[in-house]
Amino acid sequence: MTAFWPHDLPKGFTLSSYQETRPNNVIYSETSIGPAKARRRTTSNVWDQNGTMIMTYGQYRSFLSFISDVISDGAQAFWFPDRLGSADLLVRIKEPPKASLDGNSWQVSFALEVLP
Amino acid sequence: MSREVSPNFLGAAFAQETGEVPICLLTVTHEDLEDPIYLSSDATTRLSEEPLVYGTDSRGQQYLYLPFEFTLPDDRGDTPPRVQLTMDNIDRSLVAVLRSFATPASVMMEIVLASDLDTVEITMPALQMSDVTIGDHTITATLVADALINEPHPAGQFTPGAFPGLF
Repeated sequence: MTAFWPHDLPKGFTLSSYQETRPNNVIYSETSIGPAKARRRTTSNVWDQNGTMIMTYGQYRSFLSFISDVISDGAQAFWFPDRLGSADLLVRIKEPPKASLDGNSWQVSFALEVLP
Repeated sequence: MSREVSPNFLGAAFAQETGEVPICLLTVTHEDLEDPIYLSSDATTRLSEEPLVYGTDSRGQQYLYLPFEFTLPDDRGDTPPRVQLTMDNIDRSLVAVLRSFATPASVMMEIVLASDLDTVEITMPALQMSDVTIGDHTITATLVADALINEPHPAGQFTPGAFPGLF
């Protein structure tokens, strides 16, 4: 069964850090002059979202456990809350998370790949 | 050589901009395989979540999504058609299959449009897989038509070796 994002972790990235990149799903002809022809590349593609979450020590431990034990260091997909409030998104960790300690909290940055 | 394709396909091919997506479907058959392997170049639908599998439904058959790139064969009269196929090799499942073949596998290549998955626009049957190169990330294969030039013609020649009773 596909794993769910742990309930005790933040439901999303902080507002100021959140970024998403829609897929480049159009292929263009290379023309020397004039407008290029354009075609849709595929029927479904992945898009990215990334940002930072502020976690407590306990949450960060839970996050590390989720990454290593549940989703195999990011090789497996999991359900993640949708920023727009729709049904959960099927995502995969795209890059290894980076974390820094800021006083009593952890700032954890990572990128997600949203799967079709 | 001309091809019969649908007006939709022609319209998409000649349009300045189009939302049509051509999808390449491969059917790999071999005498050592119990069932053919069905592959699609497009992750049209999510077929299952556990394991996570994408694919394309066409004519009642599920073609599993395997990222690959292909070049359409040329139509030159002096050489048999050749197709270059580069497949993803991340999960290594195809390596064992390919290495188990002692003879070339047959590959049927079909092109459909994403808007009409049940209508085959172009079919390239009887291609044979050859020159397979297996790398860390990709498998590159050349598909060639069974060249008629290699077939004996005429089929029987009246030589002492073939028909000794005549001599």
